[in-house]
Amino acid sequence: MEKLAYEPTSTTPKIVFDPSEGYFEISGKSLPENSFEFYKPLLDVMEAYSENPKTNTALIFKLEYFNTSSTSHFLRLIKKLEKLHNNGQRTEVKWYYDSEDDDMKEAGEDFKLLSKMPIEIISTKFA
Amino acid sequence: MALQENLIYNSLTSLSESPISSMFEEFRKMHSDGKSFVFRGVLTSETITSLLRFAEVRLSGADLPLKKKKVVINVLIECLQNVIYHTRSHAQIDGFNECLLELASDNQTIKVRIGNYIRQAETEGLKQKLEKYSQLDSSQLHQTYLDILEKGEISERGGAGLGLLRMLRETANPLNWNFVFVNSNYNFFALQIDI
Repeated sequence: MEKLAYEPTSTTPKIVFDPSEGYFEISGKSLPENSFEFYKPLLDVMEAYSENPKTNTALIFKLEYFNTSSTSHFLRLIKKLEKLHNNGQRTEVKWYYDSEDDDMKEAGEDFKLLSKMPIEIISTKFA
Repeated sequence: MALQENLIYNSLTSLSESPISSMFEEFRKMHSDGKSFVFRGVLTSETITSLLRFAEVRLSGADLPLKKKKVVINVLIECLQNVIYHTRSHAQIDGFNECLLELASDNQTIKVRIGNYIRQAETEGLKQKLEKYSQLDSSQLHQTYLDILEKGEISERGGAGLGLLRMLRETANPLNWNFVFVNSNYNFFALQIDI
């Protein structure tokens, strides 16, 4: 499975999707004009990975801003890992938020409500 | 002369059309109205990036809680991207694909006002959504947001149908809106969000 690595831009996040390590990270700002186009390759990689996962899988979110059309794709990514979790495989989803950003914290809690897998909501200080 | 909402950010075209002597009057009116910036033009990804950056810079110097500044940026993100989604296919003649954005402050309240043309065929649907969502309390807004998010439908324009809900949840203030008939194809939709 191919690795995806995108540098951040003013409207799209940094992406590190490494199926060989079971590590998937989205960080920065997610404001793509066409979120479907941007997130489709990531969803495809996650779908393929879920068929043949590593022992440990981590999906990490560290976002400063996002538009609401991105949130539906975040949820899709999380849900693709539910199968692994339900099969007893070690799967963690971590949602980081800046300690002064209540909106980002609430977004993470919304995903906790909508997902069958545990999501860790972690306060941190973004640079 | 009636005050014109000009593109102060980077266009001098309209200023050249009005007597220079009225510029001071326009400047003072904007000051008394608390307007910190006004943009009129076509939105692109690049324009949105610039506007958000400009808003961040303006807000960084304001004596406001960080949470409020964050809400302003989030509201701008949703407003501006909604305008792109809904005006992308509009005719470029006569400025039907343009929008008007204003940022103003009144004591501790930030007012975001955005106006754009909307097709006649889309007006009723938007009106219904605005009226429906405006009657929901905070927990109903939250549940509606979760329901739509869980369905995960993305429109052909790329939107998830969550922008208005996000604005209502984050501001906890009623939205003010207005539709003005323009012609058989378009109305002008104006929205004000108080933060």
